[in-house]
Amino acid sequence: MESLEHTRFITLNYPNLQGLRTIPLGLLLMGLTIWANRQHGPASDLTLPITATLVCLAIYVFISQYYDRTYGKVKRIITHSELLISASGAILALTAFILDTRNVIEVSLLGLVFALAFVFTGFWYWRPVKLLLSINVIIALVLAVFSIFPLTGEQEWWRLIGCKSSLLAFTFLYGLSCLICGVIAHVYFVRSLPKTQESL
Amino acid sequence: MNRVFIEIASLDKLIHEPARLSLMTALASCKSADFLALKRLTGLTAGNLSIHLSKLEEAGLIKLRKQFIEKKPNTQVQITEKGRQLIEDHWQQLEALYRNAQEWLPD
Repeated sequence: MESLEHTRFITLNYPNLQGLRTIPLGLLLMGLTIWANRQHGPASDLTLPITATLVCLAIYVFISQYYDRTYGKVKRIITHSELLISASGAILALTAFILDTRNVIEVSLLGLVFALAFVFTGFWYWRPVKLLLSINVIIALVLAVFSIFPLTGEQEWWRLIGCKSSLLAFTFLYGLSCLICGVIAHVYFVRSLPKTQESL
Repeated sequence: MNRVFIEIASLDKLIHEPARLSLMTALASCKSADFLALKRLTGLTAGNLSIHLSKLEEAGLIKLRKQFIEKKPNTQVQITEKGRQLIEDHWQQLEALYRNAQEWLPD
């Protein structure tokens, strides 16, 4: 029964567990943050970010082909509630971004939305796997703590990590989190697949 | 005969066989999967997997769609409505059996 549950879990999350797919996104977000951090005033030359986006897209295609050729393809069943939650998350993130740029409140709403995204991913997808769930919850906690940091009196904590604004700091942290989660999910995925048996 | 043994005897042998049970469980958890993914998910060799898939297809529990992607053969496997119903009933049977076996004590 346990092994059937395991097969069920791996199949349900087959593409999601192929964590290396999130590496290009993580690298791109981190790279763009570093680039934006070095700009003084509005950027006039966008060659570097455009090239970086194209390179990351190419890496994504390469990684997808690696997974398809090595592990095959599973088409997931996507439920209506999953689509609804994803769409709501996107709207929430956009709203948080707009409010953050206008400095409406002291706490970082975008950071809180990112934290919420990690909590949601952890409990929605990874609940049966303690390792993946814990990583998501830890990252969510770190993001949430940084989001409410200004309330403690530390107004510009992002300067401590060399960022010009909280938006850049959260984009960098989100990118880094994507990298960490991606690598861990990939290692779990590869290790949890059964070894080929000669006969059953 | 004890109820537990009657229940064991009544299990559908076509899908109770470990490899096919694993395959049906995987297929019931997704829209469709290709041959390579099923091979990875079950740990079966290509030969064994082909045999089991043929048996399940003969019984009308799965549908196979063979095609060429980038000049390479690709087999897509999808569970049928009949197959989905059968595996769901089978899981319920297994769960009931598991509960009964825990309560059962030999005379």
